[in-house]
Amino acid sequence: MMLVRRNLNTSKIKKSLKGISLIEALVSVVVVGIGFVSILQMTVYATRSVDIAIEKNKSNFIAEMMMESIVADKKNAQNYLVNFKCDYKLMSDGTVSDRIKNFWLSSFDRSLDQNRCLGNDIKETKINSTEGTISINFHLGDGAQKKYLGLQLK
Amino acid sequence: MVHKKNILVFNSSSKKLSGLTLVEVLIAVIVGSFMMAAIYYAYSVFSGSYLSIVEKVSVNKALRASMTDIIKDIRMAGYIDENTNILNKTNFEAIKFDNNMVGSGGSDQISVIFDRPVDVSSGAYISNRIQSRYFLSPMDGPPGTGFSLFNALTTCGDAACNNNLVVTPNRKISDFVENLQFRFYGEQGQNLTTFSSSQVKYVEISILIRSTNEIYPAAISKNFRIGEITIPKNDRYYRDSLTVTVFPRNIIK
Repeated sequence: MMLVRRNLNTSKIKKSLKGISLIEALVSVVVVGIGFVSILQMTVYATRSVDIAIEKNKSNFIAEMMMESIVADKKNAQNYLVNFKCDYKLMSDGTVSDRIKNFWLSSFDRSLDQNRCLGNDIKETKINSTEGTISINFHLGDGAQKKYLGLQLK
Repeated sequence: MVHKKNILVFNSSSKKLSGLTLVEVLIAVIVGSFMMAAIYYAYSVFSGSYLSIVEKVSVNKALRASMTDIIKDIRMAGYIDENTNILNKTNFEAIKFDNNMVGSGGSDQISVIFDRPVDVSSGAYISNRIQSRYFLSPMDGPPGTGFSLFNALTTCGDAACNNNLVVTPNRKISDFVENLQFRFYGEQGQNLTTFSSSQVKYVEISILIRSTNEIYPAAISKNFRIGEITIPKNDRYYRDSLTVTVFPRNIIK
């Protein structure tokens, strides 16, 4: 009891009993607000990550489809060498491979989000007749998200 | 005694120990209200974001499951096993197609026939010929709730699967499927409207699935192209569609 009494009588303790000032409270609110904003940005990032994952998942199906189409017509595999950018247009529809490439374009158009097709996005096939290899390369998210599918023809 | 002494000490101390003024209390209330509003806003954003992510993942999962099953069976269409229990092995339509089915929102249905090994405990290798049918059927609930994608497996009693030996209960693959369309293409990539399965070189599958709950704060207008049809939608549901073509490699040409 003596100790309490002695402390209460000192001017230093009186000062510490004042609490926080309005300025201090406002500063703390601003700091907490900045924390909230960064956490809110995380939700935006999470939603965007899911959108990208969905896009990549669909690109898996489409890449398999492209590979399968080439295998189905492997004698003419070289005709399927193509590099689609975002401003792709339908083929002339004159040959089988053009019609198949139009299937692919139709799938890109219907399944992938065209609003997110950016300058560095490509969907390309690489055919190496000598080695008998086929590669499907997808670069989504302005080229940042890459997906490769490779196959060796017998 | 102790209390008394302490009270005396407080009373004799400076004015600042007297408590909060009305202005200070009001400012504290305003600052507190801002904090509560910020927390409520953050909660609603987190909650909306979480619901949106869950629904998107759920739709994509359903899309993937549906497409994987259909693709797998179409790739098998026409497969004839040497050890099949069907005496007349050949001469059957490996793909049967029904366009614009009544009671399924104008969706298509497809049946594929192929041989599938049976797991027998004796170790003998036997295959059954089966027919795998994919179709939409209305979901439980009030009209307009949506459709479910089902798979029906039938063990065939003959080569063309006109006589069925065993019909297994329908297996539900996914709910809230809004449309399912198939298109068929021949050797030259030409569109086939009427066909024999031996003419089919590519099968195009299109599925449209919507979320269980509304996730957007306002109605969103969007057109979905599924097969040959365009489906306009203007509501708060999330939708996803996938269109791919499959090469049914086991059909004997």
